[in-house]
Amino acid sequence: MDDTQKLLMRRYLLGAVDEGEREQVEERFFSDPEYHAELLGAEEDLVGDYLESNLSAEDRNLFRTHYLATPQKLQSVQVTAALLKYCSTAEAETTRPEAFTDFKSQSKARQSSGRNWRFAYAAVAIAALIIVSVTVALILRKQGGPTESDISRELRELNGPQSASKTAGASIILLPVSLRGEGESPNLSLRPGTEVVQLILVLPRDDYPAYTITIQRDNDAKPYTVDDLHPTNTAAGKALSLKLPAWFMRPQEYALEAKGLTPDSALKNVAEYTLKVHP
Amino acid sequence: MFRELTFNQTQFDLMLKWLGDDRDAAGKKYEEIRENLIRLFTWRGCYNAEELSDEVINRVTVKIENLLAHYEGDPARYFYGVAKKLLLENQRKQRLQTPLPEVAAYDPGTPEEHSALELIYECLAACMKELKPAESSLIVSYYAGEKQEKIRGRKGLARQSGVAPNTLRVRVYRIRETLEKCIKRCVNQRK
Repeated sequence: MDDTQKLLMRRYLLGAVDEGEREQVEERFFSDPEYHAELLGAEEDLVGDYLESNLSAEDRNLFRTHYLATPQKLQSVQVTAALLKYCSTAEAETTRPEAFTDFKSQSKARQSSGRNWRFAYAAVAIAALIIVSVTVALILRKQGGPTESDISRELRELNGPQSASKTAGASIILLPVSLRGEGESPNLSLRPGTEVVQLILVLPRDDYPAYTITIQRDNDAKPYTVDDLHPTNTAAGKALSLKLPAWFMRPQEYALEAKGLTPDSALKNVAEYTLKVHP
Repeated sequence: MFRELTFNQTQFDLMLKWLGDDRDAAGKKYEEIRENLIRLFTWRGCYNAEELSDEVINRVTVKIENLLAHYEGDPARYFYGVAKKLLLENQRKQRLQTPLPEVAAYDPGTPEEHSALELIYECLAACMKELKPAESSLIVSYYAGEKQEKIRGRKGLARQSGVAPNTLRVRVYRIRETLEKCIKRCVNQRK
């Protein structure tokens, strides 16, 4: 199943499809066993991403207003939340005979043993803090944070031919400002632990074989550039996929430009996008 | 509410035969279609998904003789066609009725949801004990771990079980359905 289909499935579940797309998904759900299983898997992933706060602000809003619109779905999501918590605890404690004890007895056991562990936790925390502080100080003294060339190299690697191995922990679809209007930028909140963010930049038209994206952040002297991106078909039309390291996405407003590469190697402006990243 | 449609045993038998020559396989197909209809109606935001699914099955069954004579193709697609028609009718009806109360958005971070989750958690722990050991072990392995770890874990689990990941997912769904019914019962009793 390609990314376009997966994206369409997710948009279907979030209620962000038109009538034609909805019928396309539903017909295949009823007639194609592989598609049926994939859609159920997409639903499972969507619920997991919601519970682990891996959805963009826009998708999170759609999830809450559309997907959770019925009591059945609400309960199902609550059960998934409980299962994730229960199974993580149970797996972590499989070596102990009380692995399947209920929540309350586990809580009581934790309370009674809490005092004994508190000192050990504090000692480990202090030691970890010292190690992290020293490491960070050494890195900063040596490097002064990632340089422009570090960032450029990381962007090239993430968007190069081998980029498929890096899965994005969060993704957001961006429409060109010309189509979206000048209103507020789409919002993106990143969950701690997210390593890679995928921006799907919908193109207003597809006239060029390759594209360059520039990304401008507030305090950077010049924008960063990612070259040689090729459009793919998505449910929203032709789009460019841009992967960015999460550490690059500081909370602020971002301005992106897509430029098409002409046969004589000139760059022509195609579309502008904005994005606001929240802490 | 829909006007009551009645079909006789012969019509029901014919409908099952339409789904498959082997009666057991046809029965499974019937359950599968009904589950898919419930999912469809729920995805479309219908509160009465089960009622609508049963209505689709009723409408198809009363027309079975005609279908056997004239319809060629996958029965599941026909059920979907009837479901689409019913969705339109349902939307028209809902527009004429008083709007249903909005379901409070679920946010696992709020104290109310934490309390609701704690009750579900207690019931889940009790219901897990009612599963067969192999089933509870499969559920724990399937849902444990963080995102990437979980994905890798599920692939490994499918390999170990000698089945495709999708087959594993279906197995887990079946167990989950049992769990959800048990949890619903338990929550209602303890409220």
